Amino acid sequence: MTNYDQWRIAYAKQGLADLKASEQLSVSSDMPRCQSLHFLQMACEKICKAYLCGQGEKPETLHRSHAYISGPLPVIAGQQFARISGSGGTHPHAVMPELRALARKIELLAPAVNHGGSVPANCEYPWKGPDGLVHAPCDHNFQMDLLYGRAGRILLKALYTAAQDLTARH
Amino acid sequence: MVQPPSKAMVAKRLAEAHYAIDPEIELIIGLTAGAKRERVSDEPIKLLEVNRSTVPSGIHPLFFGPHRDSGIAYPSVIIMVTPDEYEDILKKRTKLPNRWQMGSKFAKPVSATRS
Repeated sequence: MTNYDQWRIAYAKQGLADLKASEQLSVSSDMPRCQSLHFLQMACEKICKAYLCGQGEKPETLHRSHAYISGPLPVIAGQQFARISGSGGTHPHAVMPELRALARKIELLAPAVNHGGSVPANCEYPWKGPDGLVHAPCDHNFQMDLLYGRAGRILLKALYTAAQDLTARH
Repeated sequence: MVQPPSKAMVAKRLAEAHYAIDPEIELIIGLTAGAKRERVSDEPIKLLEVNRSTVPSGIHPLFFGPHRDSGIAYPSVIIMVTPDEYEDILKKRTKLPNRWQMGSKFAKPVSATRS
């Protein structure tokens, strides 16, 4: 097994673990929403990085950035749809714009990704808002409505399938 | 023994499926690693997709394994770029990785074109 295969599988395994943690946290009624969103952001990031490993991206380069979700995630979901249509199923028509918007919102949940400072809200650390007040992630409404609609369901399924495929391949 | 579909056929089907699900894709181009390498079944299908709604994040090839149950008998690599990034590739301001070269364009199916 080549080195990049090992990185790919390790990223996918950890992404899958994060995804399961996110799901567990989301069903716990006494847990602030930011906790499950934090794990969802980390899961997306690692699964995307798993696909990037070995195709011109060095693992040490991938470690440095959190902004690897909004580009790759719609492509990964798109590939899943292509498989569904190849198996005789139907693909959800024109869901990609919603999915792309959701991927960008998830990417912005990381504190290091803030759209040039205009979106300081994140799942991990307090931030100073435009109102001059300091906000805690556990009190914030992240407006993730898309996550509970069609795009969210498709995205979660695509993430699970993608991570399981990668970890089962070797 | 049933022969798997050719790499060219699978590439065309993948491109058509991607056009169908994403109205923001303007163009899909096959990339080639050279005739000799392309004859090897492990050499992935490589699609460069120009998408007006993706983020400009540079050239990031995403690698996918084969999935024989759905007729995708070969590994594949997808690179999604914005129209501006595509222009940079055409004008040689940005290089494709692994010495890949531009190949044939895949036509957008009529059913996937915007009204």
